[in-house]
Amino acid sequence: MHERTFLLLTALADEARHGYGVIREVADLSSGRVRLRPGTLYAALDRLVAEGLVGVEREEVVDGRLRRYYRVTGAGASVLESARPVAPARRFGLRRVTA
Amino acid sequence: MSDLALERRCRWVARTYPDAVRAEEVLTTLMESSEGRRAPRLGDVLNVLWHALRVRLGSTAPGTRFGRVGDAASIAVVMLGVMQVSAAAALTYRLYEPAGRENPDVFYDGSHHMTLIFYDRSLTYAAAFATLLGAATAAAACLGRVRLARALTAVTAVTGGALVVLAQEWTVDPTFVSGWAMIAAAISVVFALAVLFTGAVARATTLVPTWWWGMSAILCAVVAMPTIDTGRGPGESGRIGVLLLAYAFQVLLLIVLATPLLRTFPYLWAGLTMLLVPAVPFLVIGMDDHNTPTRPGYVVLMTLLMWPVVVGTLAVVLRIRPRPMAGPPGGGDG
Repeated sequence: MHERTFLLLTALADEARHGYGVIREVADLSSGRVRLRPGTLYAALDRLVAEGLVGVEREEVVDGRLRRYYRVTGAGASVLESARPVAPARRFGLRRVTA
Repeated sequence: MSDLALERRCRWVARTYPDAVRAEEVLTTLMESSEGRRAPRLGDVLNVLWHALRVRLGSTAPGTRFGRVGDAASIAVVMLGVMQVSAAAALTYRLYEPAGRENPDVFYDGSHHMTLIFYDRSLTYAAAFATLLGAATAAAACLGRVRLARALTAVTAVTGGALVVLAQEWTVDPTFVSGWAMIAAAISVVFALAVLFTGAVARATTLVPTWWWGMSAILCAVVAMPTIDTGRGPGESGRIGVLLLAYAFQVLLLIVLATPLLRTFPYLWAGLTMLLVPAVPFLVIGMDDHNTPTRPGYVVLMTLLMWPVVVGTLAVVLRIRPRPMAGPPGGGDG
């Protein structure tokens, strides 16, 4: 599993997050080393949703703008649990999935 | 966040997405990730535009395996194959050309051998268009990240490059052709075997960064242009170009095949780069007696060829630590 995918799944493991929330969480998890750009983020989300690893939990309209919240599915949690330790963020992922 | 100018700029970028809902979502994220700035980051803008283009091209459309980009790449590969067969047929005919058989030292005796000129031109154009189609395929594969297209591109580009070199060298020095023929035959055999194991090739090629495929496309196009421009034959600059092209594809082949190893042992990058940097000019100059290193086109081509090496060096310098493939012994995360 690519590190970015791992970090993205990890970011969505403990709670549902919207796009910018995911970007910030991934940056935190990687100590600022990985910064997802919006286009990359949504391309990855589309792929993960298509694979059933991530799902849309809810939508909100804030200040007239759409926010869509994503969260790891059961299948995504399993994948995250069994993922190879590709990055230091693995520790965070394990903690969240097992919590 | 309430800045109308910012919203206008972000909305313009977000609208590149074909899906209106997704565009709204991207707009929100783009504005929020601007973090109070009066304009979105240029990198974010380009990133959104790039991915929106990929969505529009259909490469990531749900339910489609390859999308329109993949179809285009497949068509390009088929056309490339046709061109290569045509070029090979022309070359084969050339071998039995009476003038060549009777006096192999005089090959550009075109005024008396119109057939020869015809096949020279056919060969040149076929080879040039094969290279251009290879470039188109590489570009399509670059855009669509299509595994199959990448694998086929690797196969066809290398054989196409070998064929170009074979053809051009033949027109200049018939005795030189035997060496290139052996190289071309060896490459063809290797890649014919690779085609039988396309899955393995695809897996290997997907490990090659996208920028490398983009670079290949640019390189192919740049090299093919002077070849086409001269019409009758590639001329000196064209010959230097195809020689450089051949060398580039050899490097590409090496990287494609060695990438899994390089991923595991990134320090090999350093060794490979150290070998390549001094070797490139010597190899190129040694391959062509008519080479003129001060020629601007040559310098440009050399620069284009050298930059993957430079990028490889930078990759080693900037990411000096091996990529963590697995946890270190002892179970910690390091």
